[in-house]
Amino acid sequence: MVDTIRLAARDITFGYVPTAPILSDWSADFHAGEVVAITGPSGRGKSTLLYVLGLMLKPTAGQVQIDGTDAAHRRDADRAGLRAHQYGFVFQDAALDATRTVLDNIIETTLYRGTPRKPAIRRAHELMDQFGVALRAGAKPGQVSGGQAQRIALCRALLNDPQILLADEPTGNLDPASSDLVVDAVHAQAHRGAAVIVVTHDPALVARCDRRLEL
Amino acid sequence: MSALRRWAAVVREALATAWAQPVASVVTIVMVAGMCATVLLTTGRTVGAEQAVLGSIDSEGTRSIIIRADTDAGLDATVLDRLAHIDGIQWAGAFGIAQDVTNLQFAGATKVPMRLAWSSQLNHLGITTLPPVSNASIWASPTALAGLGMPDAVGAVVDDSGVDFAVTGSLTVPDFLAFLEPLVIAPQTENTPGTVAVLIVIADRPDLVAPVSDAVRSVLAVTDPAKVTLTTSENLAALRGLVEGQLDSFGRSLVVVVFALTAVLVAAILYGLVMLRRKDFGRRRALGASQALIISLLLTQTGALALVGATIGSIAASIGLTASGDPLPGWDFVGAVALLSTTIGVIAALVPALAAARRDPLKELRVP
Ligand SMILES: Nc1ncnc2c1ncn2[C@@H]1O[C@H](COP(=O)(O)OP(=O)(O)OP(=O)(O)O)[C@@H](O)[C@H]1O
Ligand SMILES: [Mg+2]
Repeated sequence: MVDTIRLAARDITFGYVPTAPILSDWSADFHAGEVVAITGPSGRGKSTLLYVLGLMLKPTAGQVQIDGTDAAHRRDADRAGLRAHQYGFVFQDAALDATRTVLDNIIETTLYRGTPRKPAIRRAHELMDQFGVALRAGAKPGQVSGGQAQRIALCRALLNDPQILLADEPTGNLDPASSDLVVDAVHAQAHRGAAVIVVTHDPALVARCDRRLEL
Repeated sequence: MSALRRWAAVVREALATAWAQPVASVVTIVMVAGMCATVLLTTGRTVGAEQAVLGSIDSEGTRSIIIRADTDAGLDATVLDRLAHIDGIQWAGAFGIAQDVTNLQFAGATKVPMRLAWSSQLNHLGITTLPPVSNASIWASPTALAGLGMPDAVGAVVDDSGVDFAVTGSLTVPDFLAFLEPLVIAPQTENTPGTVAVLIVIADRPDLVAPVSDAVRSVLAVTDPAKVTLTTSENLAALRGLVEGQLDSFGRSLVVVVFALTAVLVAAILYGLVMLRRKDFGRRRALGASQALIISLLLTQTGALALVGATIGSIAASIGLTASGDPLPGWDFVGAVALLSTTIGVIAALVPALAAARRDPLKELRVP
């Protein structure tokens, strides 16, 4: 399984302004079942790389291949479908909808996938238990801590059992015990055949990854 | 998932979003309700005012033609037979020379002018049945009755030559005969024609006053036309036509202007509300929502809120108009205004949503 290239970057170039590229001809392979750490100084472009790999930003040149075929230059609707069905994404700042409950946030993507709510709600409760964020019903993101928000974002990312899991500083706000929970979950997802990429400064997390890429 | 369940999921999410953003939702409802109510209230009031103005100009007085003839002009009551052949006449009546009468009971009391009267439509004056001996019975207006000292319309009067008449009833004096007050008439039939001093003709419509005047003049059959004067309110009739046209176009342009102003206001505010949600759209898109889904969510949400607003606005305006005694514009008009308000709200929300949905999700998510 480790030999299957799930996700590949092929000569990616990207810059928010074309004159100042943040990524230039960057390539890497990410295998199914593998957890890869991406490290590098602040402002280097780690988050930006995750957005390009997550099909949220279009590279100015190069390809993002999923299971061998380019996805970066497909129609917008196709890329949205891939994000909904294949990807799990944990944003650096969690990016939860402050107006909705924690549960609503976790099951948000069922609407985008067009899958039923009931099983999603059941799975969401399991994940909330697993990550210690089984808060009272109706709690809103504004009423949880930064570390809790980060774990709620991970619940949302794991809900659809993604084949590609991209996590931006998932342990950034967490104590060692909670960090271990997250690292365990990330490995569990890799064992289910996902390619997992975590951006992190956390040496403990890097140490538990299969591979490390310095940006 | 079937199309229906997918649609139900979109509606559910749109309503949940509207519920989760109470301030924006209330603002949207209030704006659309305000637009709807403003248009309906101004329009309703305009319609009411227009009807009042036209009603006041459109009295029979506007359409009356008055012919005064000197005693020796040779105008007699047979003119009514000839007038019967002229089209466009609503009412015609001829009045004889005034002769003073007083209450038979108090000789030397107030004198009131009495005239012989001919008309085939005396019911217009409140005289429904003519008595058998017509020229011995008279009807008097309340003013005249007061002058005669018989407010109950019971009694008799006597003229200077000693002939007495029985007061049979009270007259209803239409506006166009007010200039003859105090009015006392002795209704005559066509079998007893006599000299006519005042002939009054009411045209069917204001614009018929001029042609009917010409026709009337041609059938007067007087011996000396110089002793006859014909007056009309033709100018007033023309003025009425002008006022009607002005009010119509004023009403129409008022609706358009009020609609345009409120629509710009609503559009600006909805645009702002949607722009505030760009980050929300960015997150949804980043997590896998398609552009089409974002747009259908927003359409459903704004459409539902605008519909609530339009309903509230229409009901409030109808209550307001009823309370102030103004006429209600027709329900089809109210419905059209409500629909147009909803559409304007949805379009105003759609434009920024389209712009937001088309951009890279991350650029929306990372807006400052
Ligand atoms: N929307 C944007 N427009 C222009 N430049 C941007 C934008 N977003 C980020 N940048 C710039 O791109 C560079 C990379 O940003 P990025 O967020 O990818 O860094 P990072 O490696 O994730 O940093 P950190 O470790 O602090 O999270 C930074 O210099 C940043 O200023
Ligand atoms: Mg970053």
